[in-house]
Formats: sequence, structure tokens, C-alpha cells
Amino acid sequence: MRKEWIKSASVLLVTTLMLAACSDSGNSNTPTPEQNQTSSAANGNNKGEENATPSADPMAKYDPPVEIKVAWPSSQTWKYQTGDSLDNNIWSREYADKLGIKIKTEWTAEGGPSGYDQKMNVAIASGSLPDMFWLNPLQLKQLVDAGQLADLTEAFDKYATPLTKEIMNSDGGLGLGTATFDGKLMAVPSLGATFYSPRVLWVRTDWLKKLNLPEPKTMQDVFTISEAFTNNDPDGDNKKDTYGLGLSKDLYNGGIALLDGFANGFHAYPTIWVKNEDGTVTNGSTSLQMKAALAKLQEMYKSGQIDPEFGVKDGGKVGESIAANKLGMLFGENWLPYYPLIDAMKQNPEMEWKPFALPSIDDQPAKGGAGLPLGPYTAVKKGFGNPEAVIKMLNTQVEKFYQEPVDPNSPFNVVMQGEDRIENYHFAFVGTGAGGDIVADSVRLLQDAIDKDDPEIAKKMLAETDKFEPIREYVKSKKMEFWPQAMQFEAFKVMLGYYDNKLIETSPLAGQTETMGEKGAALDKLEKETFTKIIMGAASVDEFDKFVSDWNKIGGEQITKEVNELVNK
Amino acid sequence: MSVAKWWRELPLHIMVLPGLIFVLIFSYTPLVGLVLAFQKFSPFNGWFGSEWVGFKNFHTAFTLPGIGQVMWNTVFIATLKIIAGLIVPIIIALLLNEVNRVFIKRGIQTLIYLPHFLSWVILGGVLVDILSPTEGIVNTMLQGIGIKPIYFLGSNHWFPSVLVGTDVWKEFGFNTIVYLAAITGINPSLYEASIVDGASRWRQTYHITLPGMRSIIVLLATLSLGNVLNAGFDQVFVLYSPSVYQSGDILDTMIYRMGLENFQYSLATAVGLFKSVVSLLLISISYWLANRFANYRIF
Amino acid sequence: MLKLSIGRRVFLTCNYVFLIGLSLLCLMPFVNAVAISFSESSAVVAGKVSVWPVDFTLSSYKYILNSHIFLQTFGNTLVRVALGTSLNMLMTCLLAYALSKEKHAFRFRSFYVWIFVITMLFNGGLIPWYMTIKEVGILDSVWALVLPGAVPVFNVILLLNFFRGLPKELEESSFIDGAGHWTTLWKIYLPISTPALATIVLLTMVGHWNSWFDGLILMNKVEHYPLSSYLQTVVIQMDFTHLNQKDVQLLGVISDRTSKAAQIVLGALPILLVYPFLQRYFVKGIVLGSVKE
Repeated sequence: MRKEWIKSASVLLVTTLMLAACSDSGNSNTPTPEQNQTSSAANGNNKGEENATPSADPMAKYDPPVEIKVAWPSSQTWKYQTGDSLDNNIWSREYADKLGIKIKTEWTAEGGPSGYDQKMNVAIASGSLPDMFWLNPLQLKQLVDAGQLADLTEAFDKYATPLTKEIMNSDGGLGLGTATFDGKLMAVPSLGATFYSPRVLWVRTDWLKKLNLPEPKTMQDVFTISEAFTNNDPDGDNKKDTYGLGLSKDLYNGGIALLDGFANGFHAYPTIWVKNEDGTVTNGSTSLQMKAALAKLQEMYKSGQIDPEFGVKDGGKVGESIAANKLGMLFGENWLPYYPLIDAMKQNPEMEWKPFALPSIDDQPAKGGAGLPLGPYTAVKKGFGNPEAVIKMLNTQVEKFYQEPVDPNSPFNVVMQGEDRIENYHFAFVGTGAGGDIVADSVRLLQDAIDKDDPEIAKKMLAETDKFEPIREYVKSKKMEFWPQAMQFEAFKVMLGYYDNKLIETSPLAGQTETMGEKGAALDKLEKETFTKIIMGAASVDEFDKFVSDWNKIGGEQITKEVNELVNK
Repeated sequence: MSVAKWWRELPLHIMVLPGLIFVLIFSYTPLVGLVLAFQKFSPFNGWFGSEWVGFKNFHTAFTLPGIGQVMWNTVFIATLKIIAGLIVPIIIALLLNEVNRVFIKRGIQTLIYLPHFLSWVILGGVLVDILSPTEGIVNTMLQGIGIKPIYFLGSNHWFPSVLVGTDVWKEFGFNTIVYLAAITGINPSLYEASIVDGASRWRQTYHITLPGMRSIIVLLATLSLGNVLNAGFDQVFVLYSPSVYQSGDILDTMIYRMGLENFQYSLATAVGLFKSVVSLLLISISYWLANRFANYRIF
Repeated sequence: MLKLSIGRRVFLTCNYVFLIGLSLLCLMPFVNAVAISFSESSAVVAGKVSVWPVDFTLSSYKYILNSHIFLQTFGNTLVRVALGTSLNMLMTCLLAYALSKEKHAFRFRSFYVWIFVITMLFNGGLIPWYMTIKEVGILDSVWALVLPGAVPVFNVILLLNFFRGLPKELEESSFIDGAGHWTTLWKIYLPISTPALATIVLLTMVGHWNSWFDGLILMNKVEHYPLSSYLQTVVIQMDFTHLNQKDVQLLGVISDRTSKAAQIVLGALPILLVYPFLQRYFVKGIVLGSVKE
């Protein structure tokens, strides 16, 4: 029996040791949240006292240097220059040398909902945020409501350079607006441009030529083309195996084969909050125009112009149909040439595609619906001693990318290391994209530069700066490698038309209302279900009216009220 | 109780101790978070600072539009999966037991475990192709025997069957392995004795093999009762679409769309708590029934 | 040699055909995934790949294997699987043995059993779990992947059941010979239970190998991820709703499907290599010749 005791004792011993090890490392390695807060507050206070009278020079260097703990997304696909890393690269060195700011990444994850977003949600909910971090719009609202973010209004006022202020307003102030709560700026937004949002109509021009069809200018043209593509055997295999219009099961998401582009032709703007003439705001999904659009789609489905299996096919599957020569027309985003069109081209070199402006059902030009492009936001934790540091870093990025003359070969942007393309622009902790005005101007310049084949003109571009060379090359040599850029450029030209002629219907709403958070998902489900049923003919078009009343009953009415209050305050 | 008895039992207590500690730390401590089901969560107010709302979250959950249909779908699909998931591996294990060539037996064992490694994301694309009413293999074969093509993934009538069928295909390998291990644990002298008595293979299976597996079967059946509200989020999420929301939307997909991204933690916790309580009830009842009427402890 | 009846022969043949057919059914999608992983992405997007690769290319694998991170995370996983499986097996054996005793030999056993079963059913949620692990202080280390799951209750109950099925005489004769619980467990119960143990080892290893969610949440840097978490991130986020204009360029470089397929092949490969090896142990347990029923 003594042996038994030895064994029991050893298990006990091992257990105790393990527990001891755990609690030890608990004490020494990871500081508890309270510890973190007091230490950074202490740091911040100290620095604050030292910098009690911050110099009016927005780009003054901190001395002694300020260390900032950050969290931001990063990707495994990014390449670094030799010896560089996320915390040690051309940008971090610039921050350290010129501004006295040391960036230390506390944690990072792959960008996107299942990576960084999820980790950030966990960090927020467990109360463990570093000094500065990236947020999506929902997280931003949560933290603002919980009073956990530093107010950046004064910092922006005092420290943003005139150029920065100009660039940050280049979208008409929309971006800054989404980061402003109760008149206070609570985060630095990275501007997106509504320029990119509207859909375009992608058509296979080789099929048009084959069947002697005109390019689509009106919705009636679209109907004609759709019918011809379905019935007149455009792929020449003597089988009735082609469709007229592509549609994906997700209806609005995914960028490929979208319903909303089609609806825009009927002046319907599903999912977009539309400002009416009387000043009220209503949801485009419930408009009568939407009903008309659905009715037409039902007709088209019935006559075989739409893939009967569209209800289970996502964007990827639609791509397969395209590559299999079954589809020649679809509404989609500007980047379709990169995916899936280029893959289809590689398998079928005789394909030709062209993007067209949204056609209209009547004599009123069609407008492209656009939600507000939101985020990401760079925010500062409340209590951090040097919130203006975020503005200083913003200034740096703006200066490097938007100060004329812009160097297209700036190492802060992209550097070639042998065969590898090192995208240094990823490592700017704070930065902004360009607002719509800037993008539009740049596209204009790009067009000019290509027409005149003059690189000097291209140098003046502030956005899409890496497009000139590839497009020029394609124009000269028709290398397939650059086909996507060239095609996207065609789409940009179309979208420039929208932008200049104010043909973009932008949603005035940023973020969510309370009832939206609770009922939004149910409404979305109802909408998708009903619309799919109507198109497939499983429900009559009048089902739409029932949908509208259900939609209102379930919460749509309440949400509309809330949106109106928000927008018209 | 005599001291000797305690002495005798002590090693057993000590054996349980490490596991108990782990479980207390890592499984019970987080359970504190369940209070969230009764609060209105707001980050940074933490677990004890958020506003107490009693059963309101449960009320919200159960009055969500469409909850009735969703609950029905969940229970229906989950139950079918439990039943099929129980029966199929037993049959396959029995059949596999009849294979004598070791090499082939091992090969089959390995192969049937393969689908477990495929993710639903990849399977989704494959299934859309296979089940397509116009080009899919399955429908081509059906047409060969004179049946009209069936829109499997797009019809509310067929969708639940597709869910159950494909899930069984994917996971039956797992349970089969467990049952096979149980079969190998059966005393071979029992078989020898029965052969002497002139029993056919079928009788042997019925009277020896199955009873030998009985305890494992009952165990797995009872434990799987705990899954009656888990209809399989990953699978449904990949395969469903608006055309089949009616029959395919389950509790988890609905909650997902409410969005964990929307910080609806309270709601999600409440639903999770509900599911756990139901599982506990079902398992406890089974345990008690077996204990009371068959004097058999399931675990 | 027993003569096989016609009925038996027919049955056996049908059985073979059926089982082999079933295996092929299980094999096909995997073969498809392998083919896709070796195919050129545009062919995959066009839907041309079924059993054989089209336009054979190693680019998906090169893409994944190229980074030094791959080797690092591979190493992380090996450590995790080794530590995790050992710890799990230790816990499982100890607990299953103790809890398999009848009430008269071990009071409180039911109490303990229910404590463990409840943990299988109740879950406090992602955040409390994360915070607990954080407070213990093992965040961002391999222990975070090994310790929280130290007790695989399902396996414990399985093994418990197997132990219960063993003849009581084994234990009795062992005690008569003067052995205590420890010796009985190590020298008698375990050697006899090789099929059950092999099963559980396999299930545990597979579980650890494929577990990626905990790695993503609990590790702060990608270099600390286990391989499965890394493979999850390597697949470009093809969530189009969040697609950045800049990321659009990446779309032309690599297809989602080929890298996902490569991910699956890499994830399943090691287990497939180990499994046949483990099957040796699925042999009938040591014959209990000397024990009379």
C-alpha cells in the first residue's frame, strides 16, 4: 500500500505545482486590466505634464518619445522589406524620427469579421483596450455610448494641418460626420468615396456583335438583349443553355449579379434610405418602383431569361456560369474584372466585356444607389495622455500621399524588392482614403493622361495612383495581365459620369438606430425571402403589398421614424 | 463510515482532483457570465454593472418575428439528425465487422472518416453542383430511372432531408469508429460458444454483438439528446438561401443574423442558456428513467 | 473450415460492394479538393475541375508554405498536439477509472459525474471564457490551448463506459493480489482497453489538430498561432461586403477556392498518415482466458 501513497502524493504534488505555475505567471507576466489602466494613465499624466503647453507646431517631435500601444488589423499576405516587421518599417521609423512616436502593436489579427473584428469585439466586451485602435462603425458607436473614447475635436482643430483639413473634407464632410457624435469628433475616419458605390451594367460585347444588337442605353434595350441572349444561341452551340440576366442568391451583397442595379433602372433604391421631396426619409425597398422592378423580373424569370437556380447560387457560382458561356449580362460592382471576369477570360479568350451606365426605364436618367462607405476608424482610449498624436500621424500620411507634387514611386507607398511587391502603405497606422471629389478629379486626370499618353499628367493624381502604368501597357500591348485594370478603368469612366452629373442616390444615414439593431435582421430576412419568391413566381406581385405592411408592422415603421429623427435633427 | 472505507476511497478522490480543479477554473468560472442573460449588456459596465432586466431577454427572444417556425425547424432537423446519426453508424459498424480482410477493413475505416475533415464551406459549393436540377449528378441518375428532377436545395420540401442526409454522410465515420471499438471489446469466447450451439451469423449479431454495444449505444443516444436544439449552424449557414428560409432557418442562424457583431450578447446568452437548460432536462430525465426502471446508470 | 452457405456468400459480396461504394462516396469530395488545390485558379472558378487537376500548378501550396510563419505555426501545432493529447489522456484515464466504480466503492461518484456532465452542457459565453483564461495569465501561450480543454468530458464518459464493461473479477483478483487502485489502473485496466484507448487518442489528436478558433482568439500574434488558425487566415477574406478597393487587386492573384482546398488537404494529411498506424491497436483486447464468466 505504500506504493499507493507515493503515487497519490505525486499526483497531488504535480497538481499543486501546476497551479502554482499558473498563478505565478498570472502575477508576473500579464498585468491585470486595472494595472494597465493605472500605468498608462500614469504615463499619460506624466507626459501630459511635460507637454502641458504643447507647441502650436502640429508636427513637433515629442521629447522624450511617447510610446503608444496599439491594436490594428494586419495580414499574412503582406510582404516586408528585409529586416522589417509590423512595428519596424518605413512608417514606424518616420513616426519615431520625425514625431517621437513609438508604435507598439499589442495585438493584431487578419482584417475582417471573423478575424480582427471578432477579436476587437472580445477586447471591448472584456474591457481590455490598448491606447489606440481601429474600429468598425458598430464598435465605434458602442464605445462612444459607453464613454470610453477620447474626444478628438480640439486635437483635430489645433493639430491638423490645413492640407489635412482639406483632404478630410473632400467628401463633403460625410466621413467626419459619421465620426462625430453630439458635435464631438470621437475618432479619425478613413474616408471612402461614394464614387465607388454605384453599380454598372456589364455586358459581353462579343455576343452583342454576334447577334447584331445595339449597346444598351435604355432599360428596354436591356430587355431586348436579355431575350436575345436567352433565345438566340449566342454561344453558338445549338443548345438553349444560355441566360439573359445574371442574378445571385444574395440579391444585394457580394458585388456580383446584383438586383439593386436593375432596380435603379426603375428608380428604385432597395436598402437605401431615400430622401423624398417633402424632406422625409423612407426605405427604398418598400417603394412602389421596387414593385415594378420585381414584376418585370418575375416576367423574365418565367420566360427563362434568369437561371432557375439563381436562388441557390452565390457570386462564385454565377462566376462559373459566366465562365461556362452561359451568361452575358449582369449588374455588378466596378471590380468585377478582377473576379470573376478575368478567370472567365482566361478560359475563353474570345470573350469581350464592356461596362455601361445604368440604363433607365423612362426619360429620367437612372441614379446609382449608394450606401455611405464607412470606416475603418482610428480611435483613442479615453484618458490617454497624448490624443493629438493620432492627428500628427494623420498629418504624416496626408502629407506623403496628397501633398503635390505626389511622388508615384514614393517608398511610403509601394517598393519593389526583386520580384516582390512590398506594399508599405499598409503600415501607416493612421491614414485616410480620398473623398469623392479627389477620386473624381484623379479619374479625370487618368483619362487625360491615357488619351495623351503623358505620364506627367498622371503624376498629378492623388487617388488610384497605381493605375496609369498598367492601363497604358494594356492599351499598347493588350497583355491580359493588365486587362482587369483596363476594364475597371472603363467602369470608372462610367462612374465619373454618375458623379459629375449628380446621379448618385446616397443614403443620408450613417450607422444604426436602436430598433435597427433589434429588428433589422428579421426585416432583412423578410425582404430577401419575399423578393426571391416573387421573382421565382412562387408568389404574385401583389405579395409585395403584404410585404410592405408586414415590414412596417414588424418594426420598419418604428425604424423609419427613428431614421427621420436622426437625419433631420 | 469506517475509516478504512475512506482510506480505500482516497486514491479515487485524488484521481478526480486534478480534473476537478481544471474544470472548476476553466468551465465553472466562466459560467458567471450567464448572468448576462438577465441583464442588458453594455461593455465596460462589465458583468455586474449592467442593468438587470430579469427575463426580458428571454421574452424578446421568444417574441422575435418568425421564432415559432424557426424553433420548429430547429427541433425537427435536430431530431432527424439524432435518429439518423445513431442508426446509420450502428449498421455500418455491424457491416464492417463482417469484413474479414484486414487491409480492406482498415482502408474503409480510414476512408469513411474523411468527410469529417471537409469543411462545410467547401462542401457547399460541391453540393450545389451535385444537387443541381439541371446538371447535377443526382438528378441525372434520377432521370435515368424516370423521376423528374428535384430542386433539392431550393425547395422547402426537400431541404431538411438534404441537411440530414449530408450531415450523416459527413459525420457517421466518427461514431462508427466508436462502435467498432466497442465491438472489438466483446469477449470472443461468447462467439465461439454460440457457434458451438449452432447459431447463424445473424443470430450472433442479434444476441451477442448488439447487446455488447448496448451500453455505448445508450450512452451516445442519451448524450446526443443534448443536441436537440443544435441543428448545425455551419452547415445550414452555407447551404441555405432565401428560397428555403422557411424550412431551413434555425435558431442559431437567426441569432447569428441578429449579429454577435451587433453586440446582442444578452440575447445570445439568453438563448444559449435556454438551450443548455433544455439539454440538461432531457439528459437528466433519461438518466433518471434508466436508473429508476432499469437500475442502469447511463454514466 | 466452415463451409459458407450461398446466402452468406451473397451477403458478403453485397456487403463488400456496398461498403466499398460508400467509401468511394466519402473519398470523392476529398479527391476533388486535392484536385482543386493543384489546379490553376481560373479553371477552378470556371468549374472545370472534378477528379483531376486542370492546369497543374503548385501555386496555392507555394503561397501557403512560402512564409516562415508556416513552419513556425506547424511547430506550434506539434507542441500543442503533443502536450494536449498527453494531458487529455492522463485526465481521461484517471477520471474514467475513478468514476467507473460503483457507488458502494466510491460514494460521491455520481456527484462528481454530474459536475463534469454539466460543463458539457452549459457555456458562459465567449467573453467570460476569454476573460477567465486571461486572468489565469496564460493568454498568448501554448498553455491557453492546452489547459482549458484539459478534461474532455465526452471521452471520459466513453472510457468510463468501457471500463464498466470489463469483468468485475479483474479488479477483485487484482486487489486480492495486494494491488491498490493505481496499480490496478495502470497494470490491468489500461492494457486491456487498447481499442478504446486508441480510439480516444485518435479523437483527441484530431480535435487538437483541427482546433483553430481558440488559437485565433487567444493568441496575440500570428507567429503564435497553431497551424489550423494560420490556415484559416491565409485564405483571403472573400467576404465581398467588406471588400476594400485596395484589396480588390489581390483577387486577381489567387482564388479563394484553391487556397481553401489546399488548406483542407494540409489539415487532413497528418491525421490520415497517423490513423492507419493507430489502427494496429484496434485489435481485440487481450484474451481474458483465465477469468471464468
